[in-house]
Formats: sequence, structure tokens, C-alpha cells
Amino acid sequence: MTIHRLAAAVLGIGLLAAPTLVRAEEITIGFTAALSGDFAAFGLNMRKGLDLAVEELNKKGGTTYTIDAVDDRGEAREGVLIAQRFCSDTNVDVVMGYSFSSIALAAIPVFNECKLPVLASAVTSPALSDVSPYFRRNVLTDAVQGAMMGAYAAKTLGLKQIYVLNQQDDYGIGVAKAFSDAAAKDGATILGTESYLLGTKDFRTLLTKVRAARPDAIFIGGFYTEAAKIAEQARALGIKAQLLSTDGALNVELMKLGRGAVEGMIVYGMFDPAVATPATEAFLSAYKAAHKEDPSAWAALGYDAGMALGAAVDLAAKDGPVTRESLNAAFGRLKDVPGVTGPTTFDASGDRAGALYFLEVKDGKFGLAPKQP
Amino acid sequence: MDYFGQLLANGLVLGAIYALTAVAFTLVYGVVRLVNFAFGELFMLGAFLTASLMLPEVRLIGVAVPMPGFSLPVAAAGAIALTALLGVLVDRIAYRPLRNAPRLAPLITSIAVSVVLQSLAQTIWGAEELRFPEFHLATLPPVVLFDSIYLSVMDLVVMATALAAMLGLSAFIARSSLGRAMRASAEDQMAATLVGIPVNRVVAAAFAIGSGFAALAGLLYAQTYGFAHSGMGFLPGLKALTAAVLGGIGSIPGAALGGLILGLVEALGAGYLPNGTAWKDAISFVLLVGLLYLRPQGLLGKPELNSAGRGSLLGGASDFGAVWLRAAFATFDGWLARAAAGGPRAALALLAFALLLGALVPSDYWLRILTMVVVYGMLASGLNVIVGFAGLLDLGFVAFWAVGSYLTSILFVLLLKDQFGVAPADIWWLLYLNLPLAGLVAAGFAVILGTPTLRLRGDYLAIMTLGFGEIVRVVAINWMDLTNGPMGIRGIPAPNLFGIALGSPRAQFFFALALAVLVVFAIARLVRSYVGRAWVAIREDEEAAEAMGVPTARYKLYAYAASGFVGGFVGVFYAHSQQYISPLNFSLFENILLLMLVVLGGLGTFVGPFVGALIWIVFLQLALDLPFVQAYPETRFALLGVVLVVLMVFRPQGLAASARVALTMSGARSKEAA
Repeated sequence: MTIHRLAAAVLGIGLLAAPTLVRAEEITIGFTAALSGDFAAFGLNMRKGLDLAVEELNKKGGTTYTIDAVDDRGEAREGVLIAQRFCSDTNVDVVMGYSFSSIALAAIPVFNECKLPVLASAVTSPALSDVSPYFRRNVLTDAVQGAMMGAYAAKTLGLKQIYVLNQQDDYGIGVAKAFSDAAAKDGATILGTESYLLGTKDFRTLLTKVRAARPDAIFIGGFYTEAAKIAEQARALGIKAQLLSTDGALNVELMKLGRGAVEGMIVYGMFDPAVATPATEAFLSAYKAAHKEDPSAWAALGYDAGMALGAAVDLAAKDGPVTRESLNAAFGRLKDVPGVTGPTTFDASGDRAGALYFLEVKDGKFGLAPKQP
Repeated sequence: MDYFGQLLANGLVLGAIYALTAVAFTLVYGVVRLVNFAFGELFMLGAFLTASLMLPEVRLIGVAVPMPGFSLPVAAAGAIALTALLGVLVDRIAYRPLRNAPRLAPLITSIAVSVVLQSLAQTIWGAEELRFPEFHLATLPPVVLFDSIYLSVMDLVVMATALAAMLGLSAFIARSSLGRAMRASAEDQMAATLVGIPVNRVVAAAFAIGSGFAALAGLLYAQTYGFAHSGMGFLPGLKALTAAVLGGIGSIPGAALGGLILGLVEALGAGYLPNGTAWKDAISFVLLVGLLYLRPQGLLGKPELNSAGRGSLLGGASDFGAVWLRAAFATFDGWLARAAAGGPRAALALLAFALLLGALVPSDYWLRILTMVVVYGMLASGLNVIVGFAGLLDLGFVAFWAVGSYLTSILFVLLLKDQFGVAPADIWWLLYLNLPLAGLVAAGFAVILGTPTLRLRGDYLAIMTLGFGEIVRVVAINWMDLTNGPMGIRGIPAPNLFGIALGSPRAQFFFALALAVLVVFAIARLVRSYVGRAWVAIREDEEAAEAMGVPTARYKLYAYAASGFVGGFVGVFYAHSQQYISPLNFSLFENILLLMLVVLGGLGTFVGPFVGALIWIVFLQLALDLPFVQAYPETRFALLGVVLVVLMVFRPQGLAASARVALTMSGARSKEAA
């Protein structure tokens, strides 16, 4: 089949010949994320969750789901090409994935043109709210999450002197700003803000500066790779402040990389294996059986996105054949689709409401933090 | 005091690691005059191999493999030996066949080898970071000096090891017979061969030692920061290269000094400047640019190294390859040479073919790909002006492209739309004004950047321009009020002509094609003018050109300006066709990519950049459909790297080399005809 498509693509005729109407019993998911390169972990985790959901949906019978995965390597240049690839391939009914907000932003004009619905799971930039009637995501925005964390740090934990570090990109800047505003509103002092580039390894100098300010907490608005290094290098420099971070740090890799140093760090996320409810039980055991590790929040969101798609397809199929347009409308009509990160409902801006858990690293595992708001 | 002291200590640890890697670059450069970009990847492999040998079990390609679980010193020795062996292997496969090839060919294979090694490492060890195993010295409590300066025991070990290794190497080079042979080969390879030194073996030894040093630096780095990762080698590799150039490439004490200075400047700069950590990469490059301006040969380098590299940028061919392959290339060359002799007729035929293609290809996806090919082809043509015609290796071209893209985006979106509320559709004509305007701004910018590089030659020039490119990118990320930082600028309007939207993929392709015609026509006229002849004279032999009365400085600046103009001009279209730009679009890798396209297609040809772009972009898109690549996404780039190495080894002068513009007299370079 692939050889066929290859040949067809080269000749440029295969895609024309494909039918415009897609039969309801076959749904092709165009999945794109950084699957290789430095930041592949988020995309690969999402993919694992989505695979599990697709497997489950296919077992249910009726509609069959297949995934057409394309790697964007986290490179902006690829964003538009991949979007066009999905647009032109009339078999593709929905696009999922996305690791980087910037790449999703670059792709949206293309999706608008071919009216292809997108359901992303890891892009949190507020710039993506209300950006297109075809774009939705099941992850909360940085602005919402950061503000919740800020209030939690200042009010619930009673931290007064906070130093803010953030990764220099839309994610880190957005989350750090929301955090700082909320924490300051609840009476904490922000001693300073410093940013670092994604992929930085050496934080000693940065932390020497932080140490001189004597904070009682450090907020790290960034991913687990840097959070683990910051924690380790902070402890090595004799900094004993409480460490706080974000859902970007909520990953089992954090403990593998940071070991003892991340003990006591508090992060937040929309899912955690430690918070097992009956709804998550099945997902947890299936995921562990498949991958021999606990699912991360990104795997959980990928899984929930798959489940939301299943619900939307069922909804759309009630009114006739499933098309891109009817599927997009169905996404908008979804109401409280149960999932492991809580129920999914999309509002008009394409965002979703949801709850946050505050989690603390204890004995090398994430567990619910003793103080919850 | 304690703040300064801690920064100093941090800088020393970092400096020791940079110095070790810089030695690798400098050693190999000294012997074969090759900047081996792959050292960054050997650095990474040193870290991975050590970590793997220290663990009781490692997951390789997803399969758990039992490992010996050595302690750090044993594992390190094993990893260094393995990496040294790999370094020799890389030299044998990718560099040795190219000893007599054009000077840029081995540079390109070294980049390709980098890509292969990095992608392979990711296939083998996975995309996530691998935690570096504990070593018992690392678990000891830190040494606290003056109550406030914290240094871990391993930090001291790192510094001591670096010092010992460098002293050992200096003694080896000074005293041993192999060291003497190395020095002799570095002075003059031909003479060394004549007096009976087995130069190939000496080069292999230099690669082995250099790779060992890179591996040592990598494992110390991984141990210090606690992890190994497939992408970890790129930036330290770049920094080490900077350090080597700073100290004077070719000089081992220079590499040590350069590494140390770079480490200290980074630590102190990041510590004392506001928001210094985000700017620290720019700090080291500003230092580099400043130093090269004042002292082109680096701190301890010999002035004569600041000359054009040996061998022409263009001449020479591979003496490698089966008979049938050569025959195939000969046929191809003959066909190409005839087409090139056809001049305007061939160009028009090509244009007609492109128009036909644009009209007939039904798939929007393939139209977008073709547009991308044309855009990258144009950008590569701009780079070709400076590299292919004037012979100046420029690694900062991407900055001009960024200037063009940002200029139009800031004007359209941040200024007129956001500040004054002007709808982009009402000012569609601004795009056509911006095209030449951005070209002029970028050209002015290029002249400003070009002026300090006039004293530099060869690889020094390349490193300095690389510094400029990186500075521009770091500024684009951090100067948020101007560029909106890493969030990028979105909502850039699609091209529009008298109210007719040209946003569809087909319209964009034709738009790009029209621009390409302009660009290629302008470059072709320029190259065939007096200016172009002066450029070629500089490329072929700068001293001779100077002696014949060509004002080389002026013509070099013209080349920068022309190349910058194309970059800015195309950048405007790029921004409007992507509708979203961010600093991510203008990374160093993009520049290396463009250079690769030019060399792949053929330096100094008009069609070469487009041939290169076609191969690169279409290959990447076709590879997406291979089932194997879908299962292991990172192998796509590994495959690409292999294709590049093979192409370069068999065809170092570039695919379309025989379409090269004939501006030199035939017989001037006998080998080129091959």
C-alpha cells in the first residue's frame, strides 16, 4: 500500500483519484509531533497513549481507526508541509499530536483552508485559544495552569520569597508570567526572573545568582530535562529552597535524571498514576502491560484525545457519513467524554476545562502533595 | 566575593571540558586542515558508551542488553578506545577518499557523518536522556571553600583529568616519534611523504587521538551534568570549535587557553549581565568575533594559518568509484555541459518545464513541496554568490534571510496591524515594496558584517560568519519587544496582488518561480559582468587577484551585499508563504543545510542550488512513506546522511558541476575536467 501511495504521490495523481467522501467505518488519524530529535519524548509518549486508545476503539468494532504518523522533528520548516500533506490526503479525517505550539501555529492557516479538524494534546500556548474553528486541544493553557500554581504556592504553601526561572520559549514565558502574577497577587514576592534556552545543561551560574537572592522557593517553568538538572545543580551548590515546577516536569524521567535532588519538588498535572480512580485503572494496567512503565501525563492526554475522537466519530456517524466537516462539528458538540484526565468538553475557543493535581516527588515517585488547595 | 568565586569555579569546570574538545578539533585541523564537525557527535558517543558500560543493563533499540557494569575509570577507558576506533573508521570511510577533492567536500561529509551518528545514537539509545550512572566519588559531599564556593569532588577530578590529558598530549607530540611525524605532516604533507612518513597512518593516529579526547570530554561532561543524550554534542562541539579558533586553531596550548577563556567568559558573563543565561551563547560569539577582528590568527595561532585552505574550493575530483559509475557520470556531464552551452535556451526550456509542472501537478501537497524546493533553491543561490563565486565560506547567511523575514513581518503584523490597526489586505502593495527594501536592508547588514571579516581567510572566516549568524539568532530570541521572541510572529498575510489572493499552493508556486527567475537572472548578469569576473579571480587566487589590481576588499563586500540582498529578498516571500515565523526557522542547521545544498548541487553553477534543494527536500518527503522510517522516525535523517556521504565521496565537485559558469580559462585546472 505504501509503495502504491509512493508511486501515486510521485505522479501526483493518486490523491486526486481518492474519493472526497470518507466512509464512516474507516477513520485515518494524521498524527504529527516531534518523534525524533532532541525533544522527541513528549511526542513519543503521546503516541503511546493514542496507540492504546486506537487499539481499544478498534476492539470495540464498527469503525476502524488507523494512524498515519509523520515526524516534524520540532522544526518549524516541516510544520506547513506536514499540514499540507494531511490536507491533500483525503483519507485523513483528523489530525492529532503536536509537541510545539509554534509548529501548530504555523500549520493552522493550512488546516483552515482544507477544513481539517485538529485535536492537539501537548501544546499549551494561549495564542492557540480561539485561533481557528478547526483547532481544539485537550490540555489546559499555560495561563490557566500557571495561575493555579501561583495561587497554590503563595496561599496553600505559604511561600513568600520566590525566584522564577523559565525556559525561553512561548511555553516557559507564558507559564512563568501567569505564575508570577498569581503568586504576587496572593502576597508572595518575586525576587527575580531569569530565563534559559531549551537544552541548556549548565545552570550553575544561573543558580549562583539565585543563591545570592536567598529565596525560599524556586519556580521552574520548563521541561523535566532542565528541571532535573536545575534541581541537581541547585542541591550541589547548597541551595535548600523548595522547588516548584510545571506539567512540563511531570514525567517519570524527572526522577531517573534528577534522582535524590528532585525529592520534595512539587509539580502539577492533569493526570497522575498515583491518583488511581476506577476510570484510570484499566488504562494504567493496559499501559503498563504494553510499555512496562507508568504512563506520563502526555500519554494520558494522548489516550484521552483518542477516546474523544471515538466519541466524536460516533456522534457524527449518527447524522450520516463522517466527513471532516461533520467530525469538526461533532467535536464541538461533545459533552463530558469520560477520560483518565477527567471529562472532556471543548468550549468555543477550542480549549477545555479541567482540574489540576498538585504532586510531590516522594521516594522517587509522584504522589499527591500533602497540601491541596 | 563569594559570588565571583563561585562563578570562577563554575567557569573553570566548563572551561576544562571545552578545552579537551578543542584539542580534538585543533589536532586534526593541524594535520589535515579539516574542521571535523563530527567531533561533537564523538563527544556524545563517548558519554553514551561510558554510561552503557557502567550500567548492569541497557535498553538498546528497545531491547534490554546485559552490560558489564564497570566502574567509571574502566568504562571510560573502554569508551575512549571504542570512540578512537570509530574516529579512525570515519576518517577511512568519509574523509580519506576526499583528500584531493575540493576543500568543502570533506566539510560536508563531516556534517553528514554528524547527522548519521546522531540519528543512529537516537535509534540505539532512544530519544530520551539517559541518566549517567553514579560513581562513588560523585556521592561524596561537596568541597566548600571559604564557606560559600561549592565544588564537587568530581569537579576537581574533571579539572585534574583535563590538565593531565593535555600535558600528556603535549609531551607525546614533543617527544615521541609519532608526535614528530605528526608535526612534520602538519608543516607540509608532501614533504613528509617524501621523507618517508606514512602520512595516512599519521592522519589516522591524529583522528584516533582527537576522537579519544572528544570522548573523554564527553564523558566528563555527561558525568558533571548527570546525563547522556543524542543531541548533547552539538552545542559543546560548536563551543569547542570556537575555543580552538579563539586560541589559534592548530595550536594545542591555544586550544587549552581558548577553552578556559570561553568557559570563564560564559560563566562570568551569564552571572553579571541581566538575564545573562539566555544571552550567554551570544556572549561567547561576540568575544570570538571581537578577537578575530583584532587578531585574525587567534591568540596563539600562527599567522600563516590564516590563509586560504590548501586546494581550490572547486577544483579536483574524486579518484574513487567504479568504472560504470564514472561512465554514467560522464554521460550525465556531457548532457549537462551541452545544456549549459545552450545558455538562455536551456534556461528557458527549464523554466517552461517548471511552469508546466506547476500547471499540471494536481496535488497541493506536492505543490507546497515544489515551492519549498524553489525557496531553498533561491536561498542557496544567494549563498552560492558568496561561497561559489567569490569563494568565501559563509556560515552566517541565514542571518540575512532572517532580516528579510522579520522586516516584512514586523512591518505588516507588529507595527501596522497591531499598532495602527491597518488591515493587511488594504496594504497588499507593501509586500512588493518590502521585497527590494528588505533586500537593501539585508545587503547593508551584510556589508556591516562583512567589513570585519575582510582580514580573514578560509576557515577563520567561516567561524566568524558562523558567530554572526548565531548572534543574530540569539538576538531574535531574546529581544522580545522587537521580534516577539520565541513566540514568533503569526498572521503574516499571504501574498496578494490587486486584491487577488495568491494564498493557494499553486499561486504560491508560480509566485516563487517568478521570484526565482528574477534572482537567477540577476545573479547570472552580475556573475558575467566585471564584478563576477573579479569574484572568480578572488576565488581562484586572492593574492594573484590583488596583484593584478583587483581591489579585493571592495569586491568581497559587493559579494556580501549581493548575497545579503538575495537572502533578504527571498526572506520576505518566505515569511508570507509560511504566514508564521519564529527564531526556530533560522537556526545554524538551516545555514549548514543551505551550504550542503550548494555543494551537493555544485558550487559556482546557476542550476546547482536548485538541484541540491530538489534532492534534499524530495528525498525527505519520499522517505516519510517508507514503512521502516515510519517505525523508526530518526532513521530518516540517518539515511539522508548516508546518501550525502555517498554522493560526496563519489562526486565531491557536486552533481551539476559541469554546468559551472566558464569564467576561468580551460586548462587552468586540469583535474576539473574529470
